[in-house]
Amino acid sequence: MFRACLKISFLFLFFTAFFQSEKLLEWETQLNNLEADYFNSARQTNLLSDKVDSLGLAINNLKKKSGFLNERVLAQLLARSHNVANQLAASRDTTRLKLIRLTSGSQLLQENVEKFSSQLSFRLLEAENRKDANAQQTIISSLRQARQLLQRCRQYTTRSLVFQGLMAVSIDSTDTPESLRQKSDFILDQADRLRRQTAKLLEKQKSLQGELRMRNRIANFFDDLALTDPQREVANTDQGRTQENVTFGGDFDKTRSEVGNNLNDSFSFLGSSMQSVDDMKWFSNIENLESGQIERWIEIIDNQQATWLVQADSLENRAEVLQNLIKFQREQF
Amino acid sequence: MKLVIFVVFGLLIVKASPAQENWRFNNRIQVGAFHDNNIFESVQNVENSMVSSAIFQTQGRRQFNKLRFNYSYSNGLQFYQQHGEEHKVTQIINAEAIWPVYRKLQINAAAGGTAKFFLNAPFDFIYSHSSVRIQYFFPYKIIATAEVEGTQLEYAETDQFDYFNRNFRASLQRRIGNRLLMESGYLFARANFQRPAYLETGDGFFLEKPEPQQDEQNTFFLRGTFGKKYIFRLTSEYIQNSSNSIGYAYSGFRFSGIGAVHFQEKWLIRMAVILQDKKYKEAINPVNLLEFDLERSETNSAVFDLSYDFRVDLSVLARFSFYKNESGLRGRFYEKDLIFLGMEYRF
Repeated sequence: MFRACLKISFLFLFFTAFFQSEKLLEWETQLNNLEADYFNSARQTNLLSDKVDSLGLAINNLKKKSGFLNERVLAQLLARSHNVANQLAASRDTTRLKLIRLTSGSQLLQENVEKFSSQLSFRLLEAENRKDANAQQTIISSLRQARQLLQRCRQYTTRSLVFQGLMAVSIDSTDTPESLRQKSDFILDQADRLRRQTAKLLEKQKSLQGELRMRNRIANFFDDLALTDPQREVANTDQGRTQENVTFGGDFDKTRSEVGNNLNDSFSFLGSSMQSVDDMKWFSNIENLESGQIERWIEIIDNQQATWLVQADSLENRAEVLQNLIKFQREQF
Repeated sequence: MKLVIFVVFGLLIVKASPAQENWRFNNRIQVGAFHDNNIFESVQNVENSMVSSAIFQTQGRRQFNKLRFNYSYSNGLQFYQQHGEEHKVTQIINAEAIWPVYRKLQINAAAGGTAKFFLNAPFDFIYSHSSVRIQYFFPYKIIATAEVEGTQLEYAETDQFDYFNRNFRASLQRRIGNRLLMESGYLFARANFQRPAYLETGDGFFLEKPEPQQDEQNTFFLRGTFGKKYIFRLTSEYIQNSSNSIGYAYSGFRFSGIGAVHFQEKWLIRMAVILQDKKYKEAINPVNLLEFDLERSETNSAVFDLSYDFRVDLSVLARFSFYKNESGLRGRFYEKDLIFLGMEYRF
């Protein structure tokens, strides 16, 4: 009886371990595929971009020369350049689409892996209670694998705090009701993504506002004591500093070196179109920000929210127009 | 006249602030009442009174290209029931310009002052300060700071307590993890008083020296700030003070802590504690008092403040403060309890 139980538990462990690694392997493969898709497309875009540059250079050089032969070559080059430029535009669109797929795929995978990791942690506790060393080892190695996968996913999901770009969707006479429906769904999906990103920003903004409120209230407290109590200053060594520094000791380390740059990035980002924010970074820690910088982030988020909501509205309107077009086409045929 | 200044300034703040769009302002008005159990900060003759108080404050910030500018102006009024001689208006102004020269170097210039006007007593004074601070941002999150500061105290009616201080301060700070900021440093302060220095003759008499009193203070400090949705800051200091006038030299430790915790969204606790242990070098009382306005002295204190936010901009406050500060007479302490209830509106 004891042997049978032992065998069963061994088999159970074996299968559990097998399914654990299978699941992780499957997710890892999915992420690999998404990454490969995106990076191949990005590489292709870069190649095409280089090609366009070199063609442009050749065309410029030829323009300076004269002669019948040169004119023929120039005409050929111009045609080719036009063709490559079209390919480049299409390739850029594809790359953006693949980045969106990579980001949303990573988000989904991250959620799955996080759930799975918490299950594994629970199992690890059980194994520890049972003092089952083999099971512990297997689970620990799976956990390690899961963490690595999580880290990889986070590379993309943390970037998704700032929306990575809208795909331009155009329609023409060749569109069928089916392709129109697909396009309309795609536009609605983009609008939905914008709304979700806006909600994320709202959370971030709330935490910034909370931090700022706390700082102001502490500074107010010291001012009250200086005005009404027998207190010149709470600690003499802070004498002569403004409240911001009195309270926070000038927490500038990251502010200057990292966040300062991020702020510049974000300002330029606001001025430009959304597609150009591939390298947008987010501050890592609110506590490191100066109060003035927190205020500016709040303002940036306000502006960004307004922009995204307007864009989401206009996308939804556009999707509605497409739906009406589909209805119209159906009624006609 | 002083009261008029208080009211006019207050109204100007309220009127002018929201109109300026390039500036960012935080303003507030606080009104309330204290119970003060020792209004004259006396060691023996303790008198208590109710005190009405009001505070107007405005803080502003503005960015001029690379240059950042902060200012803060506070205006406090205290009216004592049946003790008109203690009625006073306190005004504090601070301004700072911050210039990030480049990514790793920053220069701050700050100046400010406190003016305390007694409405019915000749104890008015002005305390002012100005400083230049340079900060360099090293790798590994280390920040080096050097600061030169001048401070000045000027009483309207007497020169006995007036001084001019030149301070030099250097410190190193480093963030450890996301929650802890450690800072260690040194402060040198030289105070040049206007009053003469004294020496003691062999037969126990005090003799006036030809030069004015000059004190030199060396302070070493270590400070830790913890914070993540709450803030605690602990500072320990070793202070050594020498003087060319007999009776003022001392050494000692000072520990201070400040903290703030927000809980359940609407409640906020703020606190400040100072403990000090002073050992005088000479076992003799000096000729002059240590301080004239005893509200300027601070030795041992604990302040706890609890506030409840009805709205983001409206709060009710309850504050308890306990002071055991050194009086004008060396080594003698007065005790004081303050209980405050009030409302605050921020806009």
